[in-house]
Amino acid sequence: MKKKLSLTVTKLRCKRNSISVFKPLSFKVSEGQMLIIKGKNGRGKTTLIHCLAGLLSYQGFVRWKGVEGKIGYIGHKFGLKEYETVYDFIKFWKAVYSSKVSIEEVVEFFSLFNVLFSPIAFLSFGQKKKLTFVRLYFFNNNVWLLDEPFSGMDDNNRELIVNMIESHILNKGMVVLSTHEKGRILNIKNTKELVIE
Amino acid sequence: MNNLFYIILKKDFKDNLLSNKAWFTISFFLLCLIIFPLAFGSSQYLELNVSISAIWISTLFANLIALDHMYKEDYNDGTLLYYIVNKVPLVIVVYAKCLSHWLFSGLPIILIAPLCSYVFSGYSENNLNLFISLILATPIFTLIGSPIAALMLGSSLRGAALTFITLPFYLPIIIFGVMGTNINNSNINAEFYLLLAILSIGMIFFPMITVKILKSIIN
Amino acid sequence: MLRKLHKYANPNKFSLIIMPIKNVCLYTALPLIAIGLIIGLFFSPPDYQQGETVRIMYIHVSSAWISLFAYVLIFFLSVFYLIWKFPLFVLMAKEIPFVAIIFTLITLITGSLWGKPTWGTYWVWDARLTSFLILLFIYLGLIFIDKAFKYNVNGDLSFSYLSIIGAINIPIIKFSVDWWNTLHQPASVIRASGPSINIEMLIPLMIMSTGVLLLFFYLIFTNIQSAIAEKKILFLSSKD
Repeated sequence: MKKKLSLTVTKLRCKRNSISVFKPLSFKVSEGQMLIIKGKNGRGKTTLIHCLAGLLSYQGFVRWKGVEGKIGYIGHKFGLKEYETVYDFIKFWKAVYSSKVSIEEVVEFFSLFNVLFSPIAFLSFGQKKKLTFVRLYFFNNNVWLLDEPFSGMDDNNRELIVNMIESHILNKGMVVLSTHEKGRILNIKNTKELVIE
Repeated sequence: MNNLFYIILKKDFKDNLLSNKAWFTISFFLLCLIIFPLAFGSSQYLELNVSISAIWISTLFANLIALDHMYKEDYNDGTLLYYIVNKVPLVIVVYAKCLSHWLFSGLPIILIAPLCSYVFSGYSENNLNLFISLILATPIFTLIGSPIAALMLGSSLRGAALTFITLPFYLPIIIFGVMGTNINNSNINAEFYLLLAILSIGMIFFPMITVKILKSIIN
Repeated sequence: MLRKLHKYANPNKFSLIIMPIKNVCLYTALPLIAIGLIIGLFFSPPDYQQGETVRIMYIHVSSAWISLFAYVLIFFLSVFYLIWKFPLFVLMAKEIPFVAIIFTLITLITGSLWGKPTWGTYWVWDARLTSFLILLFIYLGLIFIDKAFKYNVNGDLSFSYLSIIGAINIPIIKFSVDWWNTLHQPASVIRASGPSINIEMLIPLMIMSTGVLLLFFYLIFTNIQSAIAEKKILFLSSKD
């Protein structure tokens, strides 16, 4: 039987330079739900996401249940090589994840056809950011951790990402994202907000 | 597993060629080697000992030069971060990196060193010894360098500090390597056995500790 | 056990605890070193081969022991830090190289002064001397890595991992005189079959090394106190 997907965090604290970044946090996210982390700069949004991804050591409990495969993650660093072509990039990560998604499908979904054989150094910031989402597309994971996915994107690309997130939520996935944007960005009913003070 | 190793090795190989780092190491080796006859002030044949030590010193520095960007790019652009979050086995990444580093900074030197020794000194008796001890020593250089290169990620003065910190660890290998090259009675090959022992322990120990370091340093 | 220790892991408390210990160390170290020097220089017998120059031993051997002991201390503190993540451990470990490097230098300098009358040269490239020189450079590297990571969180981790990798050198130094046939004489005090050294020489050597050990601890504790104070200032200035 498949376990239901859920994330329970109790009394999470994280120290950097022997100073606690945020007050102890407790929250719960379940299947098909989105958690939006808000807060000013320097309050520890990125630190929280890194704790959830298991990159930092922390005090307290972070309990994942029913995670299939790997955790999807988008961070501030893109993981792109300047001299590589877009095609090589897609091919390499497809091979690393041993994914069954075909390259044509990815190119069509992200509408990369015009830039397919140009080196990544020639792309704009928004296009590079879009490329990082290719990694999420490749493997069939149900948890996504997105660190400010909308910064530096134009309207088209933003719509693309919003669509991706919405369909992911509909497929009983879970999304944790941090953002600065005000107001409702996504048309998802099942949303929780966490404001770090 | 094997497949992943092959993919990452291929990618690293390609990165080395595309970013033009590959030819830098071997050119540096040759350049460094040329300095020695010039510093001796004559174009006569050098003595055998001098030519062998010239080759060892050049090997050492070529290796150190290449060490700096072993993990640097993957760390700076975040590829390492994605490997770790997505649970790509880091052991394989580290082994692939070490192998590709050795292919670019060890193998070409091993192949041309006997020729260089002959051109410089005019002797060819020690060439086999030189060849064998370089084959044993250059992988050890790479293996010892890999955890230290990982340690220095994110430091403010990494290039200089990396060279300084790595050199003392290379000294024993240099000592045994030169001793092994200079054997006159070729019956006793104790240095080769010692280097082989260090290599076989290092092949397990150093990549393991590199993985540990990379995991803890990534934040 | 660990929970009891945890009480003392708070740097402020630790700083208060080591205050009296530090003073005790200093005030026992100075008389011990004085007594050891007086006995060693005036009352102990000269060596039947080396004559009066053997008296260099009382400084040379005791500081050599301390420089090796210091590295072992760094090694264990780093391992404990990596296991239990008490920042205090690495704070202590980071202060040791500054002191240890001075003892290593004393060992090398007195050694080469001793070498001139006995071997006829200040320096030979034998296994013990070379490995000790490498120890000096590893200490320098440890200081360097501490400086290089001044504004980076990873400094503590890098320091402890490097000290663990460098620990390979310690058994090489200790056993180099047994493994290789070197000019340096083999170990005569710490060995399996008991010391082979004359008891009249052993007593001042022991007094001397105890004194130097206590002096070493005094220097380290002073350094640790100042490091804790420095950290407190950094913490206060980054708080608001």
